[in-house]
Amino acid sequence: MVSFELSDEQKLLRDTCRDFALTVMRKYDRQSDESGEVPQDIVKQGHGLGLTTGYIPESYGGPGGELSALNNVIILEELAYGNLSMTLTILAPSLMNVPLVIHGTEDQKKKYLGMNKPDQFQGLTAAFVEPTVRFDPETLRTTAADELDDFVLNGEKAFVAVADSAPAALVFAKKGSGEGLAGIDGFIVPAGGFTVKEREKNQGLRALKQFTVSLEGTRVPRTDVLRLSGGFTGLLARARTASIALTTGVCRAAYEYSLSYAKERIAFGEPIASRQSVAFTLAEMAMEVDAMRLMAWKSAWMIDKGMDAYKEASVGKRYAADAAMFVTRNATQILGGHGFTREHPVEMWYRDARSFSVSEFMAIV
Amino acid sequence: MVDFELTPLMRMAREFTHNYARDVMRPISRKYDEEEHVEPTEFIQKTHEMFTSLGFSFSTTKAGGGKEKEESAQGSEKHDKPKMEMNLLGAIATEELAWGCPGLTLRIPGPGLGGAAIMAAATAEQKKRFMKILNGPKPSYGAMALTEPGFGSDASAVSTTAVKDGDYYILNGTKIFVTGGEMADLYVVWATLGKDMGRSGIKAFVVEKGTPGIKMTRLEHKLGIRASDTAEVVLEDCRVHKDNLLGGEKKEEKGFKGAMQTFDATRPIVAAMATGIARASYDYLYEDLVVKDGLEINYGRALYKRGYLETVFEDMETKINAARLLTWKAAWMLDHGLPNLKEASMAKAKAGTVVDEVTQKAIELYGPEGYSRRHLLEKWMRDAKVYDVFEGTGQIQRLVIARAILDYTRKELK
Repeated sequence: MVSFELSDEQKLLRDTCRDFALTVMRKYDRQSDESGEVPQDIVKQGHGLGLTTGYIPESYGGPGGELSALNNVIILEELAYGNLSMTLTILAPSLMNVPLVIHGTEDQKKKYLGMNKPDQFQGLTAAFVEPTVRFDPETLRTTAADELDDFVLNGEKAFVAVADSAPAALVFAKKGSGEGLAGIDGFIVPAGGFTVKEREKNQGLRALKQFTVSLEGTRVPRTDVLRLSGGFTGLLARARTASIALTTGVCRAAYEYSLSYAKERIAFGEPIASRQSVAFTLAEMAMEVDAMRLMAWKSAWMIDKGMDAYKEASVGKRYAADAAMFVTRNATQILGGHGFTREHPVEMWYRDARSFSVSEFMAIV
Repeated sequence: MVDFELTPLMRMAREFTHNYARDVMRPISRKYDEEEHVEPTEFIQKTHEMFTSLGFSFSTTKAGGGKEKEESAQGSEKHDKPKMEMNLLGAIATEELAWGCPGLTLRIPGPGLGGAAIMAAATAEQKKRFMKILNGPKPSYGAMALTEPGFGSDASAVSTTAVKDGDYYILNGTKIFVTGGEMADLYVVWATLGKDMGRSGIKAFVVEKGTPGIKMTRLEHKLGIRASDTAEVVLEDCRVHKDNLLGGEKKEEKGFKGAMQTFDATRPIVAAMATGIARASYDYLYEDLVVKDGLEINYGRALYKRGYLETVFEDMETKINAARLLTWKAAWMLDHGLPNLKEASMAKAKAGTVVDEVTQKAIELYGPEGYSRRHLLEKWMRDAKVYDVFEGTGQIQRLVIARAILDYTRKELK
């Protein structure tokens, strides 16, 4: 039966995350953007919410909550509404935990899910994107050669979140050659198995630590291969659904900020919001934020129902990414010259939002 | 709990209306586009019988309940939820019917826009009396007569007059763009008790067919939805009993507000129609380009690997999804008694834009053949345009949304 109402539990989750976004994340967003660092205290507090460990089964040391894509899109929207760099930092461990919970063997789950500590952030992460022009998920260049008991990884990965402090990373690569997503598997590589190279310098997401990582003859024992058996599209659907939710959060932040500004800013004796040119733009922005949220919900709902959400998530991600440029550009525009300065956060959201159409596997639900 | 699963009844309704749209409406869609103003008599009768036999009807504007509530027992046999979600059900069915032919969809007998206004503004006694007419054994239709030659979007500018004369009101004025004005059994006519009273003086009167003094004077010649008649109706000393004043004489506040509340229910339905037309174009294109001609659409692929057509297909699909989701949400809110003014306008604004974009683009992708009247693509593009115009233009929708999000009055945001 169709419903657009969150459960009481989800409302509580939403409110908790929103509160954290507004009272903690927003306070340090500019400072973090300028310094290129998420304050350790925020990482600690964010991690303390238990968002990357809540769904780990009790038998592997977690609290045993359900892995709900819908709950996760609700969380992602709220946190991204606070700050995108901080969100992607805090939630990086899920990039490894979620694939493990879904596809991991008993031993892998024991060993690697067990690395998560409720009271201390462990920078578990995943490495997917590669430093190549026209990166294409279907044509990964990182190779996994089958050699006796091990697979030997060679290649370069880029935009790997928190790689400098990661005790282990899930590296996506192909065992065979050829195109397509179906042949992609995950390889669990503990720290030391990959070389952390230079830190990425991006247009936005400046507080998020991302690195280029190289794998030079890294040996991964067969027992550490996360066999996806064609399941990578499912993981990508989860990541793209996450992207829609993150986009919704950043856009909502920009939309609300410019709306308040438009009501306060006086021009020609009236608030600028009282002019249709500004008011209609805000109406359009509100509409897009609502539309993308519903897309994230629908896609997440499909995932939770066990349906194939790849198409829904993929077209939704693209729609949201396009709309994000519309929303954040106009948020900046409504602030006029002030929007161009770093005194206001809209330029930061505009830069952060640019990431959505080019990024892949930044977060997962 | 968030859910996108349709109830068995909704799935059944969707399947039924889809088949009806495909088998009955599509084949005659072109005929009644070419033969504007010819009444699709057989279609009207057949559709009426079909829906009556089902125990509930899928009209374009069933919003608001009424008959549905009384008959929910029949409709809910296989469906254990206590509450009938008529607005959502209506949106789902209407998308399918409009997929078949939007003009004919508007020609389907039922309470219509007039019925929606009655459900929004009438007293319990009036609802019972008038809905009985609209849900009678014969095909019937309730029309809304609001627009006048001198105004469209600015509904507060009503100049048709209502002068009290004993137990009667005497109506004088000209109404235009009355959907279903030719086939209507009753008209909900909006008139003013006196210009100096402003909005509070605007009242709605139910004028039954055959009442002396009301006559249809002209049918519009239109760009699209030609199967639907759009009439000019003139009122000359038309006497209407006071019992036909919607909401009764005492309820001062119900007048203009009542008219506006009608839109909370009708806009999601109109948005659903727009979504249906966009999907018709998309499906038509998909069938010929993808299924028959073998164009490959690899969803979610890297941008540089996608052809232009693939990208456009994806755009169309996701825009249609956006329109549908906003529509469902607006309808669902109304079903659950939540204020949906903003959401109804969002659905309408989005769907109204999307349907124009999709139907225009579909012709381009089809090539020169898409321009030919051998195909329905050109018709759907013509039909589409009105969805960003009637039931409030795209601009009016944005005005409604903007006032809601800014918490501005009409004075603060003109």
